[in-house]
Amino acid sequence: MQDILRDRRTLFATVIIPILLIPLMTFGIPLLFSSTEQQIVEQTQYIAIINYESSEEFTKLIDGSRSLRVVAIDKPIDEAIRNGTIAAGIEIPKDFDNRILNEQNVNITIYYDASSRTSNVAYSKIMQFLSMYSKNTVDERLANREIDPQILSPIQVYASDVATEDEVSGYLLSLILPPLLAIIVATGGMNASIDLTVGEKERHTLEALLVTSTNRRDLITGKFLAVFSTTLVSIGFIMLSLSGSVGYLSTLAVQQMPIFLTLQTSIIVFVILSLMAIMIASLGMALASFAKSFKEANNYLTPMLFLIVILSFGSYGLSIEDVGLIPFLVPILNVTLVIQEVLVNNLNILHLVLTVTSTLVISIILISIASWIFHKESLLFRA
Amino acid sequence: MISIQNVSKRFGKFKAVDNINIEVEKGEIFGLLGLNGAGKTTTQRMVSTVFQPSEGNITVNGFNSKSDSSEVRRNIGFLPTEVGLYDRLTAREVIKYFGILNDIDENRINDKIDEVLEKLSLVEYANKRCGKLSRGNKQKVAIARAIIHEPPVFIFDEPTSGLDVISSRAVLDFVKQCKDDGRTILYSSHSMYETEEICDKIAVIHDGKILMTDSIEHIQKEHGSLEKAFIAAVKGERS
Ligand SMILES: Nc1ncnc2c1ncn2[C@@H]1O[C@H](COP(=O)(O)OP(=O)(O)OP(=O)(O)O)[C@@H](O)[C@H]1O
Ligand SMILES: [Mg+2]
Repeated sequence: MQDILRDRRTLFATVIIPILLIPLMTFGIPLLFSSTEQQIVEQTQYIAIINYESSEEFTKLIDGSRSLRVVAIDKPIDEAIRNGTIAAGIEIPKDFDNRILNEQNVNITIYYDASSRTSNVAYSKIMQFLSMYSKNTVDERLANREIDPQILSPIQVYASDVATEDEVSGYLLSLILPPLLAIIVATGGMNASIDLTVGEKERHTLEALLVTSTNRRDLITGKFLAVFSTTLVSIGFIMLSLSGSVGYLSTLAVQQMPIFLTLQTSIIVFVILSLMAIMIASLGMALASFAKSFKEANNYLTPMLFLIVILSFGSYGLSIEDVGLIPFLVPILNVTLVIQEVLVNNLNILHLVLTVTSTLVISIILISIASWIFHKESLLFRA
Repeated sequence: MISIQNVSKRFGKFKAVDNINIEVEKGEIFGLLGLNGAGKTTTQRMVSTVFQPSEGNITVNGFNSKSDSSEVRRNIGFLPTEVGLYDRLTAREVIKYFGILNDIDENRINDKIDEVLEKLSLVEYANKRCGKLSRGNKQKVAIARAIIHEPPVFIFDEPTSGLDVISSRAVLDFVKQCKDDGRTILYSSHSMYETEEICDKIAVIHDGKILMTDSIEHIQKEHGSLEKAFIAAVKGERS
């Protein structure tokens, strides 16, 4: 149907949104995830030391360590922190060097602003420095007594986060992409089905269509195929855009490929989305054929879209490792779950089969309803 | 050519058409006259198979509207009251689309479109988008769309309503030309003058019932004018 292609609204939903949104998400999320925190940690924070003159050695050690820089301030320390001149401050006693030398206790106060991320980062950098400093001091003292420092640490703990940053953002992406794909497909399909059913009623073209030699069953099949093919085009663009962005991401050597998108998985995603498109198209046709006007159709379809959004984000409450089988019978939800499985390279064939079957069964029911409405004059021409 | 026998149409409890009988001979222009809500459109929709009669039978060119509905549709060109066109398609595209839906041979379709555009003097508008056409030209496109498959029977529902004098005249002249080409036409209207000018026979329909059926010639002889006859019939029914 040429007419649909000239409709800007449909064009926007089927082509523009996928092209723009998907790369934005694919690139944006990893970037967003790594950038800010990373930046602050790598940045230099300025700190001040009260009584710095009491230990030239301590001041020299901390200055330049972990990108901290010691600066002199002419204001009270808390004011300087609050207005951002420095990120944090340290107060050491006036007799610092002496106390260290005499193996006495040293009290150090750290000033920082817990509500500022920069200040928090500076605080933890100072803490790391201090613990290292204190460990070195202890080691030195033990060495003076000829004792092995190992005696103080019978257990050595190494915590190692196995998830790389890329994996974390890949996981995040696999959470956000499937519902997004589902929603784009749904809105596209709904728009097209409204246009072809109530749209025909509002433009008064339906009656003219009904009196052509083409019978009603063929008409609704044609319409259904038109809705389906617009959605397919949309899915095509989604997949192109998605594999384009993921492919580009993987060529950037810095990033490990965050999600799995091979030709094979792309095909699976494409097929599942297409099946969902069939279901959405039949749902849209059934609901919209029932309506008398765009306005009424929107009244039916808006809650539907809402439901679709909720269902597609329903995967958030579930962990794909242990959801059981029932969620895979719930339309839309099963689609997003399966796509999620595909993206993290963990597809369960049973899940796929359940999803495909339930989607097809629901589609057939909905198509029959739509077709029944098209044969029912009282529903087609409601006064 | 068109035979409507004891036909009624109910919407729920409401009887929009009540036991009507109409016979239209080949080559005739038959007028359906009535006030708003009389049942003209409902009758024409039943002949066009959009609606099925609740009771009675309709045949067109020998085909029953219920059992042979697709044959009936092949034999008619229906122009509904509302000109519904696809605004984003050009006139030619709309006509072509309906040509395809009416099973016209792909090879002959463009020639047929040219022919019908010529007949309706639409040639210069053929490649304009329908949304940009004037009301009169839209109506012509709607007519072209309805008759592209050259059916023997035309059904026109108030084809001149909402048109200016010039456009109405063009439509009326076209209808007369169709009769000369041997078509059978079921024509509904509010306008006495129009009906008087083009129709051979008329039926006055009121509240779903037919009050009178007669030839224009006979009515003029009997009552002087169609308007007088119509008012007399409708008033008689009301009192
Ligand atoms: N689909 C429908 N459902 C319920 N009632 C209907 C339907 N279509 C028409 N009617 C009713 O049937 C009656 C006849 O309507 P119809 O459209 O046939 O009148 P008409 O003679 O064409 O009038 P007009 O001159 O206004 O076009 C009206 O009262 C109308 O409200
Ligand atoms: Mg009418």
